[in-house]
Amino acid sequence: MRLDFIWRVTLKELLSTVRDSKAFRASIILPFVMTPLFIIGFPLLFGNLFGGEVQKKQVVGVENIAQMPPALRTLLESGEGGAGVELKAIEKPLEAVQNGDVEAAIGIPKTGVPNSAGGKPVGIQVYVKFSSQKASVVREKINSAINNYSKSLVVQKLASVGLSPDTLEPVKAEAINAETKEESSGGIFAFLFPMFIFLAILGGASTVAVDSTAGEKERGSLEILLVSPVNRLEVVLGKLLAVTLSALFGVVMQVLAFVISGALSPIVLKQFGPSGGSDITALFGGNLNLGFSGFFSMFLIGITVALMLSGVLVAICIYARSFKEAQTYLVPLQILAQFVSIGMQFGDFITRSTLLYATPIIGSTLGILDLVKGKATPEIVAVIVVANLVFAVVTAYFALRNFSKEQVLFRN
Amino acid sequence: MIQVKNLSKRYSPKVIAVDDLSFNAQAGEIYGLLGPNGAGKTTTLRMLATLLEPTGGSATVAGFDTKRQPEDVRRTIGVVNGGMGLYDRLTGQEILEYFAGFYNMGKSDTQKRIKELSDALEMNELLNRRAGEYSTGMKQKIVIARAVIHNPSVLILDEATNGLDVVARRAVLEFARGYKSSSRVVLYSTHIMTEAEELCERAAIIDHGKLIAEDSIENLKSKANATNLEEAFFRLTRSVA
Repeated sequence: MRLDFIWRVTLKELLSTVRDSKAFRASIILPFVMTPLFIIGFPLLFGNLFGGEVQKKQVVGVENIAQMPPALRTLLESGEGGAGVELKAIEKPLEAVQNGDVEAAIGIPKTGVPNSAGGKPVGIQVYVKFSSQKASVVREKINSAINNYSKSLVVQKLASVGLSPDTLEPVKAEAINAETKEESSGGIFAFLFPMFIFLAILGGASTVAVDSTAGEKERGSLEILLVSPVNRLEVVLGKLLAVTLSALFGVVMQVLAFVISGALSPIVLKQFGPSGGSDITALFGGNLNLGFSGFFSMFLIGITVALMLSGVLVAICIYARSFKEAQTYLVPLQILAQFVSIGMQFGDFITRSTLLYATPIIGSTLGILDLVKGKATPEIVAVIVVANLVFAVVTAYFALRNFSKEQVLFRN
Repeated sequence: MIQVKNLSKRYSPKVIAVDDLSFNAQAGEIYGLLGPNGAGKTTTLRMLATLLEPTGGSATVAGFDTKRQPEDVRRTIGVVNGGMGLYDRLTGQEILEYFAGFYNMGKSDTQKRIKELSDALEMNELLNRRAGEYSTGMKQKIVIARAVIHNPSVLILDEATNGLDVVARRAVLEFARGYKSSSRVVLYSTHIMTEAEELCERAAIIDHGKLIAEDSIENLKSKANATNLEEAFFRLTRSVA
């Protein structure tokens, strides 16, 4: 095995890739567009939209509005910590909400609503579309007003018999957030971070893998390369190295995009409060508060995933007869990576084990997710890295095997 | 220089691409490997170039056995096939340097050889342009230069004029004619009999993987009582069928 031959093949593939300006630009631009969009752009956009919804006076239909106590009406119209709602008399609350005539509706019983506590409880119906995130704001406003009204009646009643409002709550539960700094900054959509890494790897590696295998076959240059004194092992290793380096470039760009976006997010999202927008950020991807060891571990997992996937990509692509055919073969791999990543939103329910961490793709996805949430230990990272390296050797073997098969190389 | 003895390639019990083929091509000649499309010419050449492993028989190229000394064989051959097989995003200079590196040619030897070929093939203006910008004729010049960058003693041309216009085709034929020497052989595979008649001294005619005839072009014509090689080819292949 001649290292200079391997490096020669690698350099040629990389030069060819760098000169493919569209693919090269995409591997740089995509992470630096998608990541800030997710970490900063979405919180900024939805934070403004959400905030705007809170400040807006929604139109709420009321059935039997004449029976509504003035105090409740005042609470609804004035709001608490934001704008209240605008009340509108209607007759059919369900239809009005379903037709979109009003954003929510309140059904006041014909018998009216009591203005003092002690009698038989009366139910007030609140009509709202449960699946609508926008409607959740008006629902919260209505619920809050009704609860405050109910509470005010109880306070009045207790006061009339000389009791304090605390009489009803002799014991209170106080929830303390036990999340670590990393966990709390992870965000509820943190499960998407591994997908970013996988897509960066596949994005960086696919172009080179397809071009250097199926593309060479289609052009007829592979046959010419193989009649030169370079042997097939050297060709495969050269191509694998080129694919891996391209994948790593994608990982580096992606991790850099995470670091930069994470650092910029508190500054840009400052408008949402003294927490530097961390509350609103947490609703989305979080801001990746990882530190050096966290990013280093993520990079280490990324490298080994890149090695493993490079073998898979070369083994698959060399089987294809043309550029287009190879791209078709890669679609299921991209879907698999996304499917596993999206499935990780239920990651908290998965019982972790060494075997699971050692499983290709799944283990790395869990590992990155654990890193983001501050749960990963050096042992977990080591298991993932070693397992990925073992699979990288296996996939490289399959790539070489496919390269040695006449029926694969000269498939017509 | 090229000795093929009972060479066979069987892809499956029913698919036999090359069947017990034997021929010899000597230094100093242009030897034709003639046959219709699908006759087994490319499979034969791929076995000679060590890309495919024979299922029977043997072949030596420049004294090296294709099975036991594949790398030595590849070091002594240059191949031009029907497809151009160039890297569109590399310049002509880069393509030639890339392949020269596999023959362990030093930097100065490589530059000297590129200059020689560039002058011979009149391709000076091409070297610094990317291959993707070339016309078909320009590409063919780089393809030929790439095949002989290491000065191989065996030049294999497989349907090398496919898709070329008359000027580029003429350039290929003239290069092949000029390349043969007392220490070199050119193996010219084609289904175009007029080209073979113009270029080759001797030829093997194959069909369905089998050798139909092997002789000098003149003898092939007289054996078939034909006035040209194309007519001889038809008569010889029909008489076997």
